[in-house]
Parts: sequence; structure tokens; C-alpha cells
Amino acid sequence: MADQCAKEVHHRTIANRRRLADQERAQRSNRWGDLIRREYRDNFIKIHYQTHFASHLRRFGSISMCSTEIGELAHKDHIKDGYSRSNKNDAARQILLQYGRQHALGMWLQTIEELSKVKGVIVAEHRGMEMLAFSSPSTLRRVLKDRMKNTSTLTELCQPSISIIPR
Amino acid sequence: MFDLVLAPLQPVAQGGTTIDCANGKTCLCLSIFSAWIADHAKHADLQGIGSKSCPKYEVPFEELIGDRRRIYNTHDYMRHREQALRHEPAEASGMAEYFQRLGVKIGNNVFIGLDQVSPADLHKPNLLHNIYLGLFKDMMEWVEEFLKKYKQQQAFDDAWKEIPPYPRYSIPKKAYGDIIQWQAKEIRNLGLDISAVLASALRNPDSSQSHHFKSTFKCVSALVDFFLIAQYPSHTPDTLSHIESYLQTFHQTKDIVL
Repeated sequence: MADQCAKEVHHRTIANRRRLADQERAQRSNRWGDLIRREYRDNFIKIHYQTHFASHLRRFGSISMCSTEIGELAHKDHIKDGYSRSNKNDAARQILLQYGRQHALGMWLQTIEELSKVKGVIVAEHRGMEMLAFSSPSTLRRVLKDRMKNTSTLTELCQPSISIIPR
Repeated sequence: MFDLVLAPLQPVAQGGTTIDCANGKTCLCLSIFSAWIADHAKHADLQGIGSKSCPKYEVPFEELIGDRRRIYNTHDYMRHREQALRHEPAEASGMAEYFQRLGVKIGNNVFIGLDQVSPADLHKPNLLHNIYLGLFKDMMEWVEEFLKKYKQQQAFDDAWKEIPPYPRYSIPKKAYGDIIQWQAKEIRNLGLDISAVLASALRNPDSSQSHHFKSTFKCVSALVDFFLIAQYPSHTPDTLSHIESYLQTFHQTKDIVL
């Protein structure tokens, strides 16, 4: 009788152990799925944004200009440099003004460069133009950011009063 | 924010400004503010919506990945504001529930004061955050988990190391597992090579794995193809239909990795 009881208990424990092992295995395989689904659930909006692409392409064409890559890179050039040059008082306005000024000067230099190639237009005063003669867009950017030799400030760059005289 | 950045645009949109044109003439330009390219967190702050809401369409949260053929209304933030201001006191709770369902926080939209601007239309797709740092990065996490589950990580790493150089493609300098922080350029390259590497890693499935491997490869390929074709510089009706079909394939097969 005692033997029979012992056998029954033994069988029950084996069955229990098997059941537990099966449960554990099932849990382990589900854990991966749960983890991914949780992540996925947090990313509903990213999945949804995919549906905007086709309608945007139909209405506006290529999306290659729709990237924040340039803006992210500008964190260093515009915001950090701009902040270090500000007097830290109302810095946001100074950063924006500085960027606006740099951009305007950049456009101005490019216009002069283009006009100097046009026949019938003489560009007087050569100090700035010597620099522009070898300039590439990166050179201009370096000039504007005070990273060129012989020009420490934007004011110094503007000093050679470049004028355009129609011939 | 409005006073500093957006308010100076108001007179330009209303009365216009004279700008020297490239053809040598001076033009009166009415510059209308039409796009704001930013990541989702910034859009959520500026448009005054919840972090899990669409800034463009009135899509309830539970339907964000629902039926893609369904057409939703575009958010009319002005109408939302008027509704919130002019509702009957008895409707207050219903109104709050309605806006909560749409994920709109009334009074928090920065663009609402601008003339001739529809705030919902300012949202545009964003290659860096939506694609490269968004879904591509997530996709790689899903793929990593999948490889771990089927013990194919080594095969993936081996294939990753063997990628040959190709024009306009820079081969990865580090092993896949050693890359801690992905840069945009690396993720862009990943989009070009992931299909080939995954196909190589999953080339020898046993009978029980065959279906899963095929579906995973189909899902990843559909996602990658969707983004690569979306970035074409010009489009035809065929490319647009391909975009739709790749998106459909992704949604049909995504359950295998999700």
C-alpha cells in the first residue's frame, strides 16, 4: 500500500515537473513576442507615417528634400557657435540674427561671384575677390565662420568695398 | 516661439515683399509658410497633440496601423478650437473625450495664429527620423531578436563582414555587433545591404524554419524596397503603385517579426 502511494506521488511529481517545464518553455517563447509587440505598440505612429508617403509623393513629388539631416547637422554650426558668440543674454534672438546675417552674406558673396563671370560687368576692389577667385562653397563657409586666415571677423571681410560697375 | 520665429512671416504672407528675381527683375512675393520638417516629438509639441497621435489626420490611436485604405479627415485645428470654445456646458465631458480620442490638446497649437496657413498641412515626411532613425532602426531590432531566436546571429555577422565594396557604397568598418551608435550614413548604407546580408544569413533553413525565414525576408525586403523607391528623384504611376504594393506586402508579412 505504502509502495503504491509512493509510486503515485512520484508519478504526480514527474507529471508536475513536465507541466512546469512546458509552461516555462511556452513563457520563454512568448516573452520574445511580447517584447517585440510592446516595442511595436510604442511605434504605432512610425508605422502610420508610412501611409503619408504615397499621398505626399502624388501631391508634391520627390521627398528627397524632406529630411532633417541638414537641420541636425546645423545644431553645431548654428546653435552652438551662435550661442558661444552671443552675450548669453536673450541668446535665441542673437543666434537667429547671427544665422540670418551669415546667410545673407553667403548669398551676397555668391551673387558677386556669379556676376563676376558675366560679361559686361566689372567687379571693382580685389582684396575680397582674390579670395573668391579660389573659392569653393566650403571656402565661403569657412570665411563666414571666421575660419580663414587674414579675416578674423565678418566686418573685416566686408571692408573691401566690393562694387559692381556695369560696363 | 511664435513671436520670435513665426510672427515676422505674417506681414510677408499678407502684403508680400519685394525680392530680386534671378531674371534681373524685382518681384512681389507672397511667401506662404507651407512646410515644417521636424521629428515627431517636435511636431507633437508645436501642433499641440499627444505623443501617439497623427498631426495631419484625425486618426484614433487604435486605428493608427489599421485599415490603410480608409480615408480620414485632415485635422482642422481652427475648427477644433472653435468647438472647444463654443460647446454647451453639458457637452463638456463628451467634448473632452472626443479630443482625447483624437489626441488633440486644445490651445497648444503654435501655428494656429498664422494667416493663410493650414497647420495640419505643415507636416511632411521626414527621411531621417521617419525612415533611417525611425523604422530602419526598429526593423534592425526586430531582425536581431529574430536571429537570436533562430540562432542565426553568427551567419548574419559572417555575411556582414564579407560585403564587397561597390561604387557609392561604403563597406561597414565594424562588425555588426560592435556598432553602438548608428549614424545616418551608416543606416543609409544598411538599407542598401540588409536584404543581401539577411538572404545570406537565412539561406539554410531546416524544414520547420523555412516558412518563418521566407516570411521574414519578404517583410524586410518589402520595407527596404518601400523606402528605396520612395526616395526616387521622380515618380511615375508605376513607381507609385509599387510603393502601395510594397507597403501592403509589409503589412501582410509583418506579424512574423512583430
